[in-house]
Amino acid sequence: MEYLQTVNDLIQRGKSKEIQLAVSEALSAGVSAADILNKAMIPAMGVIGTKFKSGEIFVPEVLIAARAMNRGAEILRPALLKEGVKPIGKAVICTVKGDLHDVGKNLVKMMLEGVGIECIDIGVDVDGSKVIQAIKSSGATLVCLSALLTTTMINQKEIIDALIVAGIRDKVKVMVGGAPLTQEFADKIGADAYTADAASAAEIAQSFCLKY
Amino acid sequence: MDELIIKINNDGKQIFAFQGERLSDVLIRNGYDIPMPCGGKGRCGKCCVDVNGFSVLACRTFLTKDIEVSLPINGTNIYVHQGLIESEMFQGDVASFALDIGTTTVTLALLDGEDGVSETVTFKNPQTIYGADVITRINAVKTVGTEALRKPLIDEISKIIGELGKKYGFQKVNEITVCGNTTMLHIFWGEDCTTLGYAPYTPRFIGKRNGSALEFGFPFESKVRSLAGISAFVGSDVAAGLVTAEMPQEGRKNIWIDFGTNAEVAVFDSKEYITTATAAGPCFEGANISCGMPATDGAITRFILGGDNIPEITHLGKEPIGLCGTGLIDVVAELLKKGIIDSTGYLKIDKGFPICHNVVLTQKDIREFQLAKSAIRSGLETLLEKAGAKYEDVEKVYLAGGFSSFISVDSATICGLIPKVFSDRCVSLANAALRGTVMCAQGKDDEQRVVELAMPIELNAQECFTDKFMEYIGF
Repeated sequence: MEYLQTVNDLIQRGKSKEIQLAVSEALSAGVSAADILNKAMIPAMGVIGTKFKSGEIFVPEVLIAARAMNRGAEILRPALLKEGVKPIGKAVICTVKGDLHDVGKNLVKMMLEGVGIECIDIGVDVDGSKVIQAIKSSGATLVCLSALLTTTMINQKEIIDALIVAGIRDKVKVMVGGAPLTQEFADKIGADAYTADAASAAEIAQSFCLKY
Repeated sequence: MDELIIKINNDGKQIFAFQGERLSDVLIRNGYDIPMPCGGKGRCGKCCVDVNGFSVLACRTFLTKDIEVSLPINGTNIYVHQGLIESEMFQGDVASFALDIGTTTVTLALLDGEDGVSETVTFKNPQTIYGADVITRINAVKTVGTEALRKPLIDEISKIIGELGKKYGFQKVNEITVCGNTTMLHIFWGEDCTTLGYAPYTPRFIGKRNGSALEFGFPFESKVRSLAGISAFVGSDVAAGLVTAEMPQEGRKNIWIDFGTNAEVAVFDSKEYITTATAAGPCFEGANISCGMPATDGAITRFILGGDNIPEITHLGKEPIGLCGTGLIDVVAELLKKGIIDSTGYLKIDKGFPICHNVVLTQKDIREFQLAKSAIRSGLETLLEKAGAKYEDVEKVYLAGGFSSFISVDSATICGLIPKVFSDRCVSLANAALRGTVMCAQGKDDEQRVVELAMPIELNAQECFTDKFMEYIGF
C-alpha cells in the first residue's frame, strides 16, 4: 500500500525524476504492474482531472502530472506486457485539416493516457484518409478530433463523413473538442460526444471504452 | 406575415420585426449598438438584454410575439489615444487621406498638405456585427459574401469624407493611402479572404496595391493605394507601425508588441525584422472575461488594491460596469502582489474577487488571462530565441495597439506579459499604424523597407513554442 501511495503522490506532485525509481521499487517489492497502474497512477490522474475541472489547478500543473505519469509508465510497460495487462482502449487523436494548434490535443491525449487508454497521435492538419488509415492499422475504437478555429471546425464533419463513406463510422466513437465548439455543433455534425475540457474528455472516453 | 412590435424601454421608441426574426438583427438594423464579439454564436454572453423582465441573449432570441426590451447602458464612445497632433490647417481644393482599417476601429486622417494632419476621425468598423476578430469575419464572408462586409465600410468612409469636404471646403480627393491587417485589406479590395482561415493561411495578395476610388464604389475619383503587408497575420498595419519605430544601436535589438486578439510581435534591428502573430484571444477586449468589456463608457481602466485591500478604481463614463484590457492587467497584478492569486493562477477566494458592485473577477477569467498572457510572452520568447538575443541585448520595447498608451508597465511586468527587466525600456507608441501610414502617404518613408527585411515565423511550427507556452502560463 505504501508503494502505491508513493507513486500516486509523486504523480500528483508531478515529480518526473523520482517517479521512475518509485515504480521500480514497487515492482521489485512484488507489487503487480496492474495494481500500480489501476490503484496508483490512474487514481492520481483522476484527482488531477477533478482539480482541473474545478479550476483549482490549470494546464501546466496537469501537464507536469501527466509527464510524471508518462515517465512512470515507461518503467511499467514491460511489466504490464508480462502480466498480460492491456490498455482499456485505443484512440486515434489529431487536430483536423487546416489547423496547426496542438496544445489542446496534446492535453487530451495525456489525460486519456491517464485513464489507461492507448493513444495513436497522428498530429495536426489531418484529413479523413489519414484518420481511416490509423483506425484500420491500430484497431482503435475511439477517434478524438480537435479544432481551434471557427474556420476549421467544419473539417471535423468532413472526417466524420469520410468515416461514413469508408463504412467504419459504426465501428468507432467520435469525440470532438476545441475552444470554438459547442454541444449544438457536435450534435449537428454527428459526433458521439463533445467535452469542454480535457478531464471530461478522459471521463467520457473511459466510459466509451468500458462499454465496448 | 405578421409584424411584431418591439418597444425599446431606453428611449420609448417602437420598432418592427417579422415572426421568427433574431432580436439582435432587428436591433442592429434599427441602429442600436449591441456588442457581439463572438459574432452572434451565443458563446460570449455580451449581447445580453432584458426582454419582458428576463435577461436573454439577443443573438439567441427569435421573436414570436410583441415584446419590451431594455438595453444595457453600455456607452459607445471609443476611447483611443491618437498620438497625432491635429493642426486644422487644411487649405486648398484637393485632399489626401491616410486610412487605418482596424478589425474593431477604423481611423481616417485628413492630411494637411504639408507634413501634418488636419483632423482624424475614428469610428467603429461596421463589420463588428459579424464578430470581433478576423476569424469570425472570415466565417461571415463565407456565409454572406465579401460585399456584405465591404460595402458598409466603404459607405461609412464615403460619408465621413463627404462631411470633412463640407467642413474644409475641398472639392477633390487626390489619394487615399490605406493600411490594415491582411484580412481587412482583402475585404477592402473585395478579394476572397477565406484562404486566410485555415493552414497554410495563404493570402491572395500581400504587396502594395493601387486602384481607383470609383472602382471601390466611393462617390468621387481618387487614387487608392494600400501598403504592403508581411504575412497572413502580420499585415500592412504592422509594417506601417514599424516604420515609426527607431532602430537599436549596432548589435542590439528592439522589440515591438501590438496587444490584440491577434497580437503581433517583432524583434528587429537594421538588418532583420523577425515577426509573428500570436493567438492571444479576445481577453484584452473583454470578450471572454465574464466582467470584461471594451474601453467604452463604464470600463474600469485602472485598479489599485489599497490598504486593507480596499479597491481604488478609475473608470470611463458615469458608472463602472466592467473591466477593459488595462483594468484587467492591473487587477491581476494587484491580486498577485497581495498573494490573492498564487503563482499557478489559483484564486484563493471561492466566489471570485469583487472589484466593485456587480463586477467580479472569477477563477475562469484569470485562466483566460493566463492563456492570453502566455500566448504573447511565449511568442516574444520564441522570437528572441530565433534572433539569438538575450534580455540584455534588448534596447527598447515598443508597446503598440489601441490601449498600449494606457497600459501600466508595472502591472504588465508583474503579470509577466513582458519580462521584468524590460520595465524601464518600454515605450508606448499610440496609433503607430496610422502615423506610419501618414508618413508613407507623404512620401517621407516607405513600409517596403520593413517588408523587405521581414522574416515571418509561424509559432505552431516552432518546436520550442509549446514548452514556452506551458512555462509562461503560470506567474
